[in-house]
Amino acid sequence: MSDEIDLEKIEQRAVAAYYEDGLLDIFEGGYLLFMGLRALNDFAYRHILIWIILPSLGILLYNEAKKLVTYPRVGYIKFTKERRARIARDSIIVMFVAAFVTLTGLFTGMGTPESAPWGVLLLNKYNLLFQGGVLASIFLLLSRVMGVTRLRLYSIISLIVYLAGYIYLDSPFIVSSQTLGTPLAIIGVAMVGIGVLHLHRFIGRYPKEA
Amino acid sequence: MTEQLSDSELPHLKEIDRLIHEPARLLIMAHLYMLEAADFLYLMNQTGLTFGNLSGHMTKLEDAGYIEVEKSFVDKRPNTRLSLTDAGRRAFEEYRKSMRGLLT
Repeated sequence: MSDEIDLEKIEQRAVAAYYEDGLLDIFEGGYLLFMGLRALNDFAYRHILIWIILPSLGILLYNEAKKLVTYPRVGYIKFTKERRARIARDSIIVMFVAAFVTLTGLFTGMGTPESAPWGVLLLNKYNLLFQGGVLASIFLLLSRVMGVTRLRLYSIISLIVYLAGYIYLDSPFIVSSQTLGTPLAIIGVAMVGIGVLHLHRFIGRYPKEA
Repeated sequence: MTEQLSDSELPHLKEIDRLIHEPARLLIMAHLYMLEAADFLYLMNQTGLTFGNLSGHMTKLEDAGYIEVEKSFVDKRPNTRLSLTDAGRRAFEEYRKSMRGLLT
C-alpha cells in the first residue's frame, strides 16, 4: 500500500481500469469500419441516417460486453454523477460541432462553382484534409473529455491516413464513395486491431474469478 | 527524555476520526469518495487488501454508518456493491480538513 493517497490518481486509475479492456476501441473502430465499407459499397446520402441510428445500438451492445468481459475481471465501478453528466454534456457538444463541421465539409466537397466564396473553394480543395482534421479533433477532444489518453493515438492515425489519401487518391477534393469510405475503413481496421490486442492482454492479465 | 506535548498543544488531534484514520479504511473511503459506487472485487484489486481484511473493514465502516452495502446476484454470482452514505461523505471531508489543519 502506498504511503500517500492521491484522490485524483484514484479516479485516473479507475478510468484506466474501466477502459483497459479495449472494448471502446473495438466498438468505435467497428463503427468507423462499418461506415467506411458502407460508403465504399453503396454510397448514398440517405445512409447518414443509419450512421446516426447505429451508435445507439452500439451503446447497448457495448454495455452488454462490459458486463460480460470487464466487470467479472476488474470489478464494477460507477463514476460520480458529476463526472457522468460532464462526459455526457461534453460528448454531445463535441458530436454536434463535429456533425455541423462534417456536413459543411461534405457539402463543400460536392462540387462548387468557381464563383463561390474563397472559404468554400478552400474547403473544396482541401476537403480530405479537412475531414481528417475533424476526425483527429474529435478523438483529441474525446480523449480529454473521457480521460482516455489512448484515443490520442487515433487522432494521429487519422491525420496520417487522410494526408495519405490526399496525396494518393485520384480526386481528393470531391466527396465520393472512395474519398469518404477508404480512410474511414482503414482507421476502423486500425482501431479494431488495437482494441483486440488490448482485449487479449486484458483477458490474460485479469483471469475471471472462479 | 523527550518532552511530551500537552493536550492543549494538540487540539486538532482529538478531532481526528480514528475510524477513518486507519490506513486501509482511509483507502476504502478515498476510493468511494471519488467514485459513486464500487464493488468488492474492484476495491480488492485497487487497495491490495485480502478478502478477509476488506470484509472486516467494510463491516466497521458500515456499522459506523459511513458506507452502504448492497448485496445482490449478478449472473448467478454474489455481488457486493459499496457506496458512501451522506454521513460518510461528510466525515471524509471533515477528516481531510482536520488533516490539513494538523500538518502545516
